[in-house]
Amino acid sequence: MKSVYSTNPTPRIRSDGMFIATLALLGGTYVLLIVALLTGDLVYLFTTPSTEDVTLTFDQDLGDTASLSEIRSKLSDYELTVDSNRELLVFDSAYPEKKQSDTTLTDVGGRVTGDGITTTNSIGTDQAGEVVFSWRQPVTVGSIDLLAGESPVVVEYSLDTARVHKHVTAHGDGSGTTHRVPADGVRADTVKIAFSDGGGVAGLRFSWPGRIISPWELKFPWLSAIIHNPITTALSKPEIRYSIALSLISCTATAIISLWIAIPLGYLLSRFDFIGKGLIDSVLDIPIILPPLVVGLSLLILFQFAPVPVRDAVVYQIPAVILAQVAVACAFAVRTMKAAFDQIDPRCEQVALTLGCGRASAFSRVVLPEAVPGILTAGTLAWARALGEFGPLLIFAGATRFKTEVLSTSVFLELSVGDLGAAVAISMIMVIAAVAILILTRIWGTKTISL
Amino acid sequence: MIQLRNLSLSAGSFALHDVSLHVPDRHYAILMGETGTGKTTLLEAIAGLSPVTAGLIVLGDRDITKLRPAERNIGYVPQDGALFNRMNVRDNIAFALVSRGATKQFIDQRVNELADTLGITNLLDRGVRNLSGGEKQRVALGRALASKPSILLLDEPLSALDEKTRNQMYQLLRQVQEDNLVTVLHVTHHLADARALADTLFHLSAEGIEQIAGEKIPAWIEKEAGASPASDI
Repeated sequence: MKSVYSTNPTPRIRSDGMFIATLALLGGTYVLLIVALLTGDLVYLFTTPSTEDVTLTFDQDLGDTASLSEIRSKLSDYELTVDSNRELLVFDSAYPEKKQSDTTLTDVGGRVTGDGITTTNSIGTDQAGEVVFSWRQPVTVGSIDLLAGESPVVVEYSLDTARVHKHVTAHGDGSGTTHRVPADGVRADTVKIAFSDGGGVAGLRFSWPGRIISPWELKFPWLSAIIHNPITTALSKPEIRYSIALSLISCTATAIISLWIAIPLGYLLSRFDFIGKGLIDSVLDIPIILPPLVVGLSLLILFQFAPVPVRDAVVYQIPAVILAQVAVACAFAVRTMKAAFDQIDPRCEQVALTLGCGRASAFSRVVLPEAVPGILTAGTLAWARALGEFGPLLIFAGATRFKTEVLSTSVFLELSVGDLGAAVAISMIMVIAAVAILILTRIWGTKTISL
Repeated sequence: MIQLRNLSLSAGSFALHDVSLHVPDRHYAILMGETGTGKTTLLEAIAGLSPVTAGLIVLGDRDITKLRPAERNIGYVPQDGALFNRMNVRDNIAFALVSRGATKQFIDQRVNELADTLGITNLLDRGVRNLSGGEKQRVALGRALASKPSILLLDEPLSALDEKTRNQMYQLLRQVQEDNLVTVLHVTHHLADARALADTLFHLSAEGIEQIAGEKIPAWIEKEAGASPASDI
């Protein structure tokens, strides 16, 4: 009988290139995702202009009795000056007739409301004239609150002396009311407000870059971006600096404590057989599979049973930060160390035993040096794990500024106040720290491996 | 002298029962056997690395059955050498002497002497990772011999070597035995090793251990070689 295979002597083989391309496609997608994540953060940080929305009134921290010089000094924070072709006056908004040039105003306690604005002081003139606000650098004007007289007011916006926008208010309904004049987000460096029979400005809304830009920065925008970016802004805040320091210290402490536990435990699990080994092995998986929040909650509950002085010293204090980090990170370090010891040939220790070593000196002279790359890996893993720890920290250590705030907490705090830019900037600081540690460990690790 | 008296041991699921063996002083004994008969476990038991359930191990006039490996003063060369990768050749060889707290001067002298015998003087300051198979075995031998043990246990020391290196090693092993006045127990499954080295031959099989006296060794080897053409010869 003729073999069925003989009719087709060459096997049908699919292209190897296709196979490898499929592998690359499936795996590469994830690698691309990681790269895209980091790139996205960076692009966001360096392209989103950092603007600060300012609502400027002449009350607030100035009190009810602001003088013109006090107001001018406040405006100068934004490189904003105000001037008029008439005498510039500060009004008590409720009693425009009570006005003063540059002496302290006697507060009569009145407030004016209208269009959702409450004002006690405004700045303007009591006769026909112009009030001009000018910024040294262009800003985006949101709206202007006017204390209107009876005639229409002409508001002109200009950029580099060219008029870009003009708004004429409807007939005023007499003093005692404020009007919000929208500026439609126009970009301008000068706003000229022309009153035909006197009036005042009660407030300004605008967004500006958040800081005073020096002239050289316009010439060297890249250098400016290196010096002034959301990361350096974040770094300049003392609470962020505290949180970075606490993160670095607590993560390093966690890594050291984890290794302190993981090296002996990993060696024990790797080399010795004893009753309950399987159980211990399973117990070590608990912190890995447990939701992190539960770890924090369990720690909190556990310390309810502790003596009060101990509890007060730990819970919501710095020790809680380290304890919460160790609780989770250590399990990863133990797993890594066990794997590292598993990979070291036990014969080397056995030979050391026959060469006159006890177990302890065989461990320190032979096993430990061989385990150095594993120790570095375990330490790095614990460190990185601790850096990312958040849930347990929030529950067990709290999120108090200048106390238990670490970087992950900072991200949360910045996000919760809506400052996305700062949150991303702190995230990038964490990425930089983690990558730096990874690279350092890799460099040091390979150096020690190749003898 | 190595003497095993009615030795029983178990390692995991594996067990050996009632093994008796006698290697006279300064003999080169070869222990042969199929894979899985327990040659390595027996060697480990003598070195103190595998637990003994019954019987005695006597070296010279010492009963060492209960002693810790460090106290037995046995030179042990496991399969593939198991060199300490983090140390250079010199530190590997000096290991046993450092354990015994020898002076630096003594250590240097002994290491140089061994290196000279083993022909590895030029390797002393190299790492051990990139050594060839033969070089590794020489270093492992040097490490085992450094503390001048009276017993040398070799576990398939030549199995990974090519033919030429293997023949050099035969000479070296013979010379080492004569220079250091050691009793050697050498585990192998190569008949060629037995032919080149054996003063005494033991054959371990499922039935037990069989001793082939010196003058009968060549005949036994021929018989085995004929019986199992697959074994290398």
